[in-house]
Amino acid sequence: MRSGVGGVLLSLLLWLSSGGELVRAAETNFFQLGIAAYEQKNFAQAAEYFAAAVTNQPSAAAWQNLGNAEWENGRTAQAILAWERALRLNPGAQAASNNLKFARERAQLEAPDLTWCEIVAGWLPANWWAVLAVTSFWFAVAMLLLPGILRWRKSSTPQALVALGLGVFLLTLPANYGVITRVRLGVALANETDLRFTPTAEGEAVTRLAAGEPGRVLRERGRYLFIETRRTRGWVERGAFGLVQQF
Amino acid sequence: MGAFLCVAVTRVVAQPVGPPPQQPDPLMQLMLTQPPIEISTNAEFKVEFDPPIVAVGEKAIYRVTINAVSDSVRWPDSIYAPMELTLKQSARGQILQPAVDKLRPITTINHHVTASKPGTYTIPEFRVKVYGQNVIVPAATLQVVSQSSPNLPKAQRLHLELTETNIYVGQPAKVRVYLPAGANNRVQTLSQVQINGDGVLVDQTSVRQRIQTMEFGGRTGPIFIYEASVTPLVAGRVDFTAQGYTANHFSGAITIQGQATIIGGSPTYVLLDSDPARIIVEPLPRTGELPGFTGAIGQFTVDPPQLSTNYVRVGDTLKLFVTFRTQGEIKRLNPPPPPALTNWQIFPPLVESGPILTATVNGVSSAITYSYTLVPLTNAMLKTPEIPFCYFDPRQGKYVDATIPSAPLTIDAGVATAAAQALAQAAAATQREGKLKLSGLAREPETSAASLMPLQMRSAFWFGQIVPFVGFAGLWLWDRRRRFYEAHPEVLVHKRARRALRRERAKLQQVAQANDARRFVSVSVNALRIACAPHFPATPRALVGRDVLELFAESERNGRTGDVVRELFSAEDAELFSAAKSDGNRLLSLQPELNRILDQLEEKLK
Repeated sequence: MRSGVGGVLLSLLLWLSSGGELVRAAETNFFQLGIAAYEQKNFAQAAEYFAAAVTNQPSAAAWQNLGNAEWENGRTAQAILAWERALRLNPGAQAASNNLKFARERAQLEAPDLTWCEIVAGWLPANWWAVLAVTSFWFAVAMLLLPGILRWRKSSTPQALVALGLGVFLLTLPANYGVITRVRLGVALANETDLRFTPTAEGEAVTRLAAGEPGRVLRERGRYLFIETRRTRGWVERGAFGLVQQF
Repeated sequence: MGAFLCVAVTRVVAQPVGPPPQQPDPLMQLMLTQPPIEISTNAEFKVEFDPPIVAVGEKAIYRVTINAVSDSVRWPDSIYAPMELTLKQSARGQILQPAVDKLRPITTINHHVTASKPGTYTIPEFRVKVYGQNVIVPAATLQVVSQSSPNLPKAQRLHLELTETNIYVGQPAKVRVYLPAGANNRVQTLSQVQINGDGVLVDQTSVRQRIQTMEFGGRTGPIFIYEASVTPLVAGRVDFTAQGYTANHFSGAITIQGQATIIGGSPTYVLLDSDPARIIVEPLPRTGELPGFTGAIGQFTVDPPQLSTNYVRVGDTLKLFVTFRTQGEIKRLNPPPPPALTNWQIFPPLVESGPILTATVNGVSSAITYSYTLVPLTNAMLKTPEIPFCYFDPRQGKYVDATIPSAPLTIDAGVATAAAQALAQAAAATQREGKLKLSGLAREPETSAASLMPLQMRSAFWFGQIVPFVGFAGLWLWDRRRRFYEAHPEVLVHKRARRALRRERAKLQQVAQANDARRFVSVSVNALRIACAPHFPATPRALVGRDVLELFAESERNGRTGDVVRELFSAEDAELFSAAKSDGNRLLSLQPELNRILDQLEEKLK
């Protein structure tokens, strides 16, 4: 009986591992297919493959390549969005950063208006900040409690470690705040996107946004988002504004 | 000795006597020469309806005037008026009236009033704070008749006209304010004219005023015209109004065409205002913008550029003159910035001449000339660089390219100066650094992330923090309990004894049910010993029946409790040391009493 359960578990494990391999293989396959299509100048097909790759398992490289393919397709906003997403996953991705600068210069677009917390948040991947914050916090808590519980010999080392842990935790707070606030950043997806006074289709246009022009969502109402750009504020249709990270 | 004294005296005379007298501040001097503003006299309101009789639906002006500074008057947001009257504040202004040795401030507040029914309506008196004091605004009465008549006096009003009502952000538009002549064709001029509107810039330098004979409102006669240029700064609907004080004196230049009678005598300052006029302001399209757009809106032409010389050496400067022309005025043109090039050093443009206004068949045209200073850094060029420029044409609704063309020139191949070479190298380096291009594809898929959503935004991440929290909380509680038991070991002993007693009692129940008298005795004695042990500094096995009885009162010891305990301990002794066997049934019958005794002992352990 015991050997039977073990056999089932082993089969399940093998199936899972083979399934994981298959998924990874498919993902790699889409990625490589995308590269092949891109090199054959079939940018629309390449964009589809890279989109499939990022849907299965998002990675900075896949997003970056999707951005390149979209740029070559003439879809500036989608390209900017993809490169922004690549940078969210890997802030050190030089290619994505360079491509963003290139695209903005070429399309005469401004970079998003970031707060200092959001700039700091961009120094490390977003998840690292979260892990760093909780690790340092619980480390400080552990260093506070464990010497008493485990009856360590009295010394200043645990106290110094508590201070260190709390210090790191406090320093990560602005970055974590920046990670949360920058989730509301996005870009206009189409050229001549109307920014309206009111959240209605008949609302008067305050201005028109170019494709890829950045904005920050301040609030939502129905199918409209109230966004703030560098120059003005207004309502934009939800479908016409792409968020770098869905919230 | 005499010579020494002479030197000493000379030295004393030559010593500076103090700091030089400070030059008075010209601004302060100017302010001091101005007559003071009178704010000491009692503030008094003067209220009137202009005209005092109107027909139903016609507009009258409820005008309130006070001899106080405008900022000191705390005018209420709404005024009580009869229901039949509609009251809306339309203008507020302040003028300084020259008096003897001082200036008297006069503040006027206008409201537009319309009546829905004929009758006589009174706006009652009310109080307003002026200079922090309550001042009574007197009542005023308006008579409303059912039908308009030519004999009824008409209120003097301003009329506002915009040359264009659909314009783009940044596009200047002409606005004209008309004040028709009153009775006997006597015309008044306006002072302190204001164009009010949110998000518009009024160009005060473009103001023109004239008196002209023309037909206005079905009547030909002299009319005062005030003309200014306004530039909307925001898109959307923009409402304008105009206001100004009648004054029979002129401020600024004025042109008089035709025959006009101008009122003389001391000025009468009456605040007049206009109905609002509306323009629709469109944002500039973001698409189709060409290089070199500096905000120019209109129709522009660029003359072929002129060079100060067409023969230079490398490192020498030359000037490029560019003339821009447009219909109308060209006041707010920003010239295109010079392009960044490796082989040219180009300095930002400066105004060379203009703007020059020229009368044409279609009106006025203007021209302005800018000069760019250029320094060739190499001798490889045969012409000046093109300078991108574009403007937005509101008539066509699109951006129009008007790039400044090249001009041919000859550059001497002589030795470039060290400074020119350094400039060329720096410019080339800057261009190399600044030239961005699209990066290639990533070849490897890299480590994949589960989601773009950061951990901070996932609820599972925060719920996951419960695990370490519970862990640390558990550890802390455990440590607290441990420390308590260390401080109070008797509590632990009692607790353990209770636990052991409960086990023994369960065993006792089993052996009683099995009618095993021998085991019943041993388990009973054991239970009694366990229950008593924490009260003695001894292990349970060392206790005897007397020790158990010591825990009971004298009466109980001599009573049934003592008997049961003694009998059980005796039975155990007999079991161990005697061949005679006890009566098993009798011993088993002691169970209810034993349970009572054990309850008592367990109670003592709490």
